[in-house]
Amino acid sequence: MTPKDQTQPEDATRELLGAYALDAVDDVERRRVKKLLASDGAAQTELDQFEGVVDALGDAVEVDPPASLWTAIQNAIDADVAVDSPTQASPAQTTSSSSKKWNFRTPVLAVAAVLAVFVIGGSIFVSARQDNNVPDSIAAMTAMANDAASKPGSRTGVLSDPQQTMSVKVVVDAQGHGFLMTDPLPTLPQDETYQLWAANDGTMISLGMLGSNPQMSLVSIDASVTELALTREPVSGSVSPTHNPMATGSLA
Amino acid sequence: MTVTETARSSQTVDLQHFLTLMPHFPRSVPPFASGSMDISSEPPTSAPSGTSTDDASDIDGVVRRDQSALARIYGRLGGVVYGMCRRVLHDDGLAQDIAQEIFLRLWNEPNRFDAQRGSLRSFLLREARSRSIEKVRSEEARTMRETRSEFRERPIAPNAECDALQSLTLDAVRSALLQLPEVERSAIVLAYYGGHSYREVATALETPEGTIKSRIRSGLSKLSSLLTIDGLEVEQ
Repeated sequence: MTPKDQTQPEDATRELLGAYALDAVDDVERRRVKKLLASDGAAQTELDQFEGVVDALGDAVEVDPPASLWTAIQNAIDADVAVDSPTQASPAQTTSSSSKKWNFRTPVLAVAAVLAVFVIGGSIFVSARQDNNVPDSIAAMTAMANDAASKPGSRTGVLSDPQQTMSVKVVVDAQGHGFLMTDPLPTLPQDETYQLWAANDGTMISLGMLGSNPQMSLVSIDASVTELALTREPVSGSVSPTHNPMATGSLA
Repeated sequence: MTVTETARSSQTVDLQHFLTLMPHFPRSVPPFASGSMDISSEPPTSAPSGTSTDDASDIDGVVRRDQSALARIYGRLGGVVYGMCRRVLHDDGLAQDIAQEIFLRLWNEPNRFDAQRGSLRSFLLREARSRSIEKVRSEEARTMRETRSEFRERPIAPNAECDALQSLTLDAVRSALLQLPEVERSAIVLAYYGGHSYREVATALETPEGTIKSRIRSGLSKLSSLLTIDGLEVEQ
């Protein structure tokens, strides 16, 4: 076998690096590329470069997921935790069921044990679930909001419309936990949701969806956010407002 | 200050101020990382990703069954995972199913993620894309069984590339793709966003497989430079 014969297959495999990075190769080719990568530092370097590009390509498909997605995840985890008999659990379930003590790191998150948690675009939303625990949850959240409002570094505000027919009280503690307490808002149709926005220099940034009939919500609000707006949006949420704000307010 | 007092003392801003903003809303908003929000960052190319420290810390939390750790991961990466599923599947309901499956699998098997092999973002994006492709193929297989039709390579819709480019939410990525030679762009967009193998792309474009492989490789190399020039840091 000539040296040329020996390098040809390797070159052909190297030509696959781009398709491999895109996961557009078959299993046999994938194994060939992995074998090449194990022995060829230059190929690994090239692949690292491609994988960075692929990450960027992936970032470009990002959209706000519907609130129902996290709710579904949460419910599935709750159902798993509620499994009483280990013999009924699958191996994976056994693993998770074996540790049924939630390890919430803060009192704020401990309240989430009886709440539905919505995480939208990095903002953690906790909204009261429609069950028997809701009154207790709201009471606990209200107490925490009052406590937060009394501490140094907290900010407060109210979102309302010009006619003052609706009111959403907001308290943000020094750590950025934002409590939203709504006087009864008009209940939206099932296919719509309230969505909270931060405004900054003409840019509206989604802070998440509150559901069609929110009472109490917890949301992460960064210190740089000073102005808020509330809109009604399709139930899956919007990447930018599709309706004029129903209520606006500032934090101070 | 109590909440009630807060309601009395806080100011309500002018609604008109927000209305004037409406025509200028950006098409897309980047996500926030680690529950911290920096609205002064440079959209649309500055979509923050969790640092490797965030990833490691939160995966440790998931291993300890800390649900808030999973919530933080979802906050950082839920949008890209769901977006990728939706892009490949073209079906919101199926995309939710697969995205849910991916996060539940991470919850139940967090040690499948190996930080030595890349970021959690890369890992979950790969999962989202490959699971979505599997779902498409299983649906096609079911259809073939039901219709008793013969196996054939997955066809690519004529407007697939255009649709994919229009759906992108990062202008920098779209711009970089548009700067590629058309043949390279087509190969990359159809393979990645369409969830097709390079062979399927070759068939659709009536181009030799070797040529498609080369175009993908060459195009990715150019994209690396273009995205860096445009200010989008390409992680390596």
